[in-house]
Amino acid sequence: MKTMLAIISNALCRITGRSAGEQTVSELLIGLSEFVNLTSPPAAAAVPPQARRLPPKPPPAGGAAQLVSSRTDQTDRPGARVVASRSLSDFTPQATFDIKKCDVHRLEAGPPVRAELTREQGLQYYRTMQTVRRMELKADQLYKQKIIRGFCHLYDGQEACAAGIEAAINPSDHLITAYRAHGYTFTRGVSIREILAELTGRRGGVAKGKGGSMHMYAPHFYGGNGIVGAQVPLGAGIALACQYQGNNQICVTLYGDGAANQGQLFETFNMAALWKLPCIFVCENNKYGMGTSVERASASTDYYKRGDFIPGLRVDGMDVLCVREAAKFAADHCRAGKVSEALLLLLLPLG
Amino acid sequence: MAASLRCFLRSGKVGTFLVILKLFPSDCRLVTVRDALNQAMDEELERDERVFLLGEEVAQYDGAYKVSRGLWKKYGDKRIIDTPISEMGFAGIAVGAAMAGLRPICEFMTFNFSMQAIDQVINSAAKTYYMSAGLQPVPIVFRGPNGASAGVAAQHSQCFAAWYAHCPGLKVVSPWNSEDARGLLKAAIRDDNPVVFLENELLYGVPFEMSDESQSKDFTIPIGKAKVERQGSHVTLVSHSRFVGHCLDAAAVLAKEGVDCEVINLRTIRPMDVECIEGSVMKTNHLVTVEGGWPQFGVGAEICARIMEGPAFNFLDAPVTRVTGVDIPMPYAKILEENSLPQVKDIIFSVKKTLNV
Repeated sequence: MKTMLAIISNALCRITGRSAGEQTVSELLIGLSEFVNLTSPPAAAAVPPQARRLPPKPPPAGGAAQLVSSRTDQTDRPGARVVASRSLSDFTPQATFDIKKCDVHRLEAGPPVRAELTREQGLQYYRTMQTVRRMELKADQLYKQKIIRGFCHLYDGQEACAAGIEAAINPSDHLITAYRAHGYTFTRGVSIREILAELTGRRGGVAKGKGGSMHMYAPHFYGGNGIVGAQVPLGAGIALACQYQGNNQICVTLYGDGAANQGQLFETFNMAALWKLPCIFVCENNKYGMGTSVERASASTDYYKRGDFIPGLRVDGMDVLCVREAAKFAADHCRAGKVSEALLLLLLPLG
Repeated sequence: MAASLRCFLRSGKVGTFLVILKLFPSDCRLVTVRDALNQAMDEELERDERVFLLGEEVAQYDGAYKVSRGLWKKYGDKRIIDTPISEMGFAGIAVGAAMAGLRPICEFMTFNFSMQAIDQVINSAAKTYYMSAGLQPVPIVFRGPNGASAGVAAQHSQCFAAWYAHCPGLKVVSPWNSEDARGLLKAAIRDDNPVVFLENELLYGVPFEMSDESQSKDFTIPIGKAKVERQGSHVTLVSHSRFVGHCLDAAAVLAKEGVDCEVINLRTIRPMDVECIEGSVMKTNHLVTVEGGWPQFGVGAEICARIMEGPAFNFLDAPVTRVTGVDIPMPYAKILEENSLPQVKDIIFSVKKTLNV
């Protein structure tokens, strides 16, 4: 195994031109992905001439240049599997995307309909979401093997919410969520190792194995709460503390479509609006509250309107940029003290 | 002298209070439990910016039972917060504020209403420090009147000492006199753990002597330590809150008959000072517990179990007797209500039964 890894890493080093000792195999592969593009011959033939990737100008780091030029003449041969190329996208620092317009409730205008994304941000959001996805799928596997016991509420499919919200707030802001918390535990700064160790009940876990899936904490992250809806008053309390201390921080309080029917939420909305607490209430609607579909549980499924006197936005939760822009809009709203807080609804279509 | 004074006071005649004031030497001040609690909160609010009070009617109304009189005028809206009638909501908000670094005092108008919020007290406050392996402390105090009042009937008369004391992660204290109230409330506010502070509405207006050292701004009573209110040698009476007074009255009556009672004021229900009780039982060999709550799974039951499990069991000359509230929802009619709670005569009867006299 070790020798195989050594062989692979040496080969990768030769391709990418980096020295062997510096990096791990995975880092080399990631580095390689910047240079290499896997294409199959039929697809290459179907690409129209103007869209075909041209051999790039030599990149600033001289080493890879010879490799690039020496390999491109092999693309048209049948069986050619690897094409080394760099395209225009590698040199574009940012792009602007059109995003879905959010439905609004008690607001004159919603968040902007165009979002700017820099290359670094794009890669960062992608890495975050992909990491959460892999972690959750692994947790799923471990749960089925009974290595994770009790409850294991998975977040795969909803990663864009976590990534988008984290992109919109500061690390000094606060966040609290319900039991579907692994994604947020990661975005709030806990390492994958600590999360998986906690899930498997190990001492190296973020709560030393004493908390489990639903009770993971970090600075400015208050879990992980097992009782449906109980985290919402807690979140408003955290917002009260922010207001009390005058530190211009906000609290993002998440709950699900099932918790949206809990009475304590409405008690909280009342006090949050009354006292103008800097709190963003986010409903992650995945269309099922435990096992019951929203139509069977809620008289009104317009969750973004159910804050009544609290302004609301209906946001496409599958689009990380939409989530980011909406969360940023809500956060600015809270911080400006214009209105107390905003209610976001994130729609998450299943499947 | 002190016992008869208390009997006098409990009869509730205001005129007698003024007479007694003249009888007492001036260096020993009389302070009601209400004023002691008020002063304690005032001093703690002044001492630490992070302390604040929230609850129903605590601000502009000066407190439902006037315990927070004058505090809103002094500290304002930021630190004394009137809440809507939403126990679950505001208890959760208080717990969240504690998690984020403040030190709230959450007042329940009575602990009966804390049942609406009990999930926040137990699952959000009590368990969090453990579940987070020490990452997330919750320095909160839940306070309010507990147990029977006068004529408020079944839904407003329950004693929650046993319910809260059952839960790991909570500290539960139950003061009796003004000195207890002041010292324990200060200790509770300074404690980094969630503390349930069980007051008693009928004691609010009762004045007690307070020593000079208890007037210090840093006077605290350690949580987890009981106090022997009266030394004795024949039987140990253990109680908390209002019934400590009843025990002392019973002890005074029994003293005339030659029975010497030792009266222990628990002060803290959880963690219970079992060593104090054991030490006393090893001296007197007889134990009677007195409480206002229901008998099943109550404070007295816990004391019995702990005595059995410890060294004091071998010193008992008779089984422990529990004097408790009657196992029924509290009735309304005065005669029924009086007979649903431990009276002095019940304590005397139990002591005589235990001692076989």
